[in-house]
Amino acid sequence: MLFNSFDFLIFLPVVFLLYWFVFNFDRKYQNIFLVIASYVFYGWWDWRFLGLIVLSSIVDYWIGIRMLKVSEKSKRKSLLILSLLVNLGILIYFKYANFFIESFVEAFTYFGITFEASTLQIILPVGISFYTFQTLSYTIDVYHKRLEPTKDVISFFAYVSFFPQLVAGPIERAKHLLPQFYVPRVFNYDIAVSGMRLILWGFFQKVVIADNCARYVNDIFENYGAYSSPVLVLGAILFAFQIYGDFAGYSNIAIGVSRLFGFDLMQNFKYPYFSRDIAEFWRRWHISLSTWFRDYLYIPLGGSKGSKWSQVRNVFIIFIVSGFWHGANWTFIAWGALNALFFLPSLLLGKNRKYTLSLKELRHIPNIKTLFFIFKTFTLTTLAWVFFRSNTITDAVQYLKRIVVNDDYKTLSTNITMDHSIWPLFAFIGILIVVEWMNRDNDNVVGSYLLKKNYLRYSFYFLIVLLIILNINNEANDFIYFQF
Amino acid sequence: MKRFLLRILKFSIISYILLWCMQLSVDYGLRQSKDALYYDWNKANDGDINADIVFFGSSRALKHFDPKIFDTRLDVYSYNLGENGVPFDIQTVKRNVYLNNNTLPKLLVFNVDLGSLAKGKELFKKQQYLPFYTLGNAQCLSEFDDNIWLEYMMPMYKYRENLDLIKMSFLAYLETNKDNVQTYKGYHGSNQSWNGKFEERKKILNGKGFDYSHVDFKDRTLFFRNLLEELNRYNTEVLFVWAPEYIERQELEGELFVKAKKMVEEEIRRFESVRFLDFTNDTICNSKTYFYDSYHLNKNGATIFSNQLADSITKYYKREFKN
Repeated sequence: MLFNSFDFLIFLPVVFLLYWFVFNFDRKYQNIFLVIASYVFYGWWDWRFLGLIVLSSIVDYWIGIRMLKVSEKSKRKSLLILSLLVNLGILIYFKYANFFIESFVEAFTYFGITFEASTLQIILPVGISFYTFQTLSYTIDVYHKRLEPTKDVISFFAYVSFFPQLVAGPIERAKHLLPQFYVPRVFNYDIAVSGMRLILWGFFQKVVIADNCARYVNDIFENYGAYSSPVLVLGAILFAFQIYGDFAGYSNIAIGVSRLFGFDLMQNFKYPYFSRDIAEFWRRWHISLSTWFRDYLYIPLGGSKGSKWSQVRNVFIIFIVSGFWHGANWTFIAWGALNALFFLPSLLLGKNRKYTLSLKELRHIPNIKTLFFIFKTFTLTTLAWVFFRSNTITDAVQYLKRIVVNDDYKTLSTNITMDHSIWPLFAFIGILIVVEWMNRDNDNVVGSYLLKKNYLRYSFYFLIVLLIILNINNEANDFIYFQF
Repeated sequence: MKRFLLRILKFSIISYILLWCMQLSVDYGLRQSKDALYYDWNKANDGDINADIVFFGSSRALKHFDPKIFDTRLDVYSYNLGENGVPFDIQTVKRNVYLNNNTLPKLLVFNVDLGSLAKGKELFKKQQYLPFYTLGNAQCLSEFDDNIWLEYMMPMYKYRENLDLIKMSFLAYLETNKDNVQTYKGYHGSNQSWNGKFEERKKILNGKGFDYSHVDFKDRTLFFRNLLEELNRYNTEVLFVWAPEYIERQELEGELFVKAKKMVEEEIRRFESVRFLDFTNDTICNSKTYFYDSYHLNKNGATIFSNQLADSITKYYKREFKN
């Protein structure tokens, strides 16, 4: 079920009311109800793949219990390996099998050996990378004794399948989310209101920003050969806003919906496009995935300890794996590698933790130097996004090459894509930037700045509702991150 | 919880009312607009037409019936309400808007052909209907578009992805709309000569006729019968006209073309106030000179046809239609 569908518009209030008014007498019943609601939410797309979530939940629950009973390190390690094999096995089969087959065939062809290998007819289960990583975090933490394995099977199933973040994150850690299923939930007015604000802003990001950008981006990227340099630059910039609106929008809706049910999810985006260098960008973008890789891959590899060479190696590993996590395509690997490359100078100069403080230190009207650094970081990330969005590496290279070679700046205003219908989109992006900048010292957008005066706040809410209504597509657009 | 739900409810109700007010303003603006998209709709809706003879139909009505000729020849005030791309079932909306707000014409003329008899699939130029969503119109339009009810119930939703219309409405308040009306009393004659697209189509068909295998003839007959019964209730003269089609096209339309004409003739015979005139055997159909494509007469052809029709009306009705 899509958040931006009318099905969800019915689903959410029904589940909310049943949860608080029918099942509120016992947290166990609330948890059972959440599992059922989550399975309905997921099964709405394709009920057959519910089996994978159930399998993953059973395996990791059982492994957790077994780890509690065995004390020998070797046996615990075997159990961890079993969990990795099952979870990553499912992920690799459904997501990467065809990629490996095709890549092997291509590699052999390159060396003059040709053979026929047919790819598998596999449907990629929605959100498989998200819930796989979520369950893995549980087993790994239990293995390292950072977390007590749960004996509450319902809570564990609810943790794995919790519908607001099931298909596109944030990827929650068991340590943070699982204990919330153990305790009775109390409805908190202020938290629920903040949840509604996040939902509203999330819909604005998705429906008004991302879906509108998509219309132009799809056309420009699919026909980049026909467009001039300025249009291609614009296409890349719009994609940067599309993917941000799409993914941050989903995360905000997920966090907001969770708050309505008395749950706290981790923040996934902290105004990443206001970052002043790439290192800061990665502390603000898809935080739940970045920190997952940091904790379960980067640090075990040695992290920033050791020689410069091993630091560089670790950075490349984490970024390339992160790229590969996004999809079975060389473009994602190139995107990861490019980000590693951008990250490298600050690492080598020891400046990768230069900007760790909140953005609130920045003045409302930033100075030229800050603006320059923000602009530079945005430019670099946008450049990398071209690889992320393109169908092949060749397409991405050609796209960038065309920007440099075909510098026909006059055609911007005469191009068919650049008709007057694009101007409202620029205004919407302007609203996004201004609102997020005004609230940059707040963990949640639509926070302090707009809360001060009632009339201002409600006018703003109304404006957002109006813009959402005016920009709803006839066909609800999928969230980009569903495919991951 | 109670406080939370009440707050949500309060915000929803206030937003709903505000959105309704906005929608009413946009609707009103568009209903004042002089833009070509709404020009005839607004005249019909404001009761500004009150014609003696009104022509309804698809693009073949729009391009074929020249009111200037009928006005002169029959000494009447006539108006053309043909609209591009709409079969009979979708024409109902414009017809209702006209008949509910204007005096009843002495003669209602409908262009009939295979296209008009076909089942409506989707709304062509949907924007034209937006300011006219009444319960009745929504009911009719909902048969062709699944979103209509939601658009009817949720204010401003119908203007989604149509910011241009909101701008047009605003400009209408300022009376700064562009004068882009290219019709004369609804008639939109074409100066084009034969465009050759028919030959291309024939090449693709490769000796075969048009494929009408999907047509449920029984259903269409029943539909036409109901339409006739509905029109008969208006208590005025009704005339169905099968306007000229290029002869080779008639051949490609094949058996269905013959069958449909026969059906129209037989069904109409059951009603005293309804008549049928068939121009598909007229010599005008044999020459490309009078057409710009196989389905539409050009201005020259439309002038000849309109004169012929005026003659026929005089001949068959032997009465005046002036109100």
